Amino acid sequence: MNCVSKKYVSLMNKVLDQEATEQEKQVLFEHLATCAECRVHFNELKESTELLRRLTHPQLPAAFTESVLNQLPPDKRNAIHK
Amino acid sequence: MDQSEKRLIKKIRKGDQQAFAELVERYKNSVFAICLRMVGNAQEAEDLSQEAFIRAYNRIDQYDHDRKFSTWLFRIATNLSIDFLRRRKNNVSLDAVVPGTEGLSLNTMLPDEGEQPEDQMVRKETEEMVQEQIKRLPDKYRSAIVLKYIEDLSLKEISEIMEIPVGTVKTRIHRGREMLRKNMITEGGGRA
Repeated sequence: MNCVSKKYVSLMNKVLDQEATEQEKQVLFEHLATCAECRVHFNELKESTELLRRLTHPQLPAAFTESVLNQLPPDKRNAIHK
Repeated sequence: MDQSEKRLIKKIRKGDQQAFAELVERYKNSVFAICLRMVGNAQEAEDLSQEAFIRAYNRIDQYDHDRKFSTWLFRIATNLSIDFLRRRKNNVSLDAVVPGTEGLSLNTMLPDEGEQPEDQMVRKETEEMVQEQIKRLPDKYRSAIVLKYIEDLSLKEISEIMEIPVGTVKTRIHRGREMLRKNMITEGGGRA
């Protein structure tokens, strides 16, 4: 695990955060082309985040909003007339 | 912040609950997604989402309208989720930890129409594995990762929600991502 050096991990992070310059991208991808270990590391990072992105976004039941409204303190405007 | 939202908040400050209902409609599923992935349980996530909106309504006077409403709301939701996790950690012994997706019924997972039953099974298993991995992250990494990858928020927005510098957000995302990578490989799952 010595090849996955700080330098390349930091470039991987920049690329994944979409903050890498064209030049930085080129440095990383040229290295990945020759280093299997870093390539695996980078693909695993990408894969993990892909799995997160693909999680479903379940919808709340339709009654949710009403249920929230029912728990609010009484309408302030009505309270004035009490 | 968009103008219609500004108008709504003005009305809410005067006690207009119908205006508040519009904001709930607008953000309920995002708030739910954050809470769900933070705590890993649909029922608890729904309760926390309700709590978040009620708190937002009660504290609407504290909301600074120079900031995005969603930033403020998501902050309330993440904080409530973290508090909930801490309480649970203190109350529940380690062997009795609630499985990551307990309470997530097939019904709430909303499979795509026309998806084959086997595919649904695989997807459900993958989701459970991923949720379990999220659950294992330390709180501070978990919030950053959930906001980034579930809500797709920018680093700047996350830094405003968490009230920490952008640099710290980055570090947390990098460490969280690295932990997820390592754990998903040791689990042997996730090679979808």
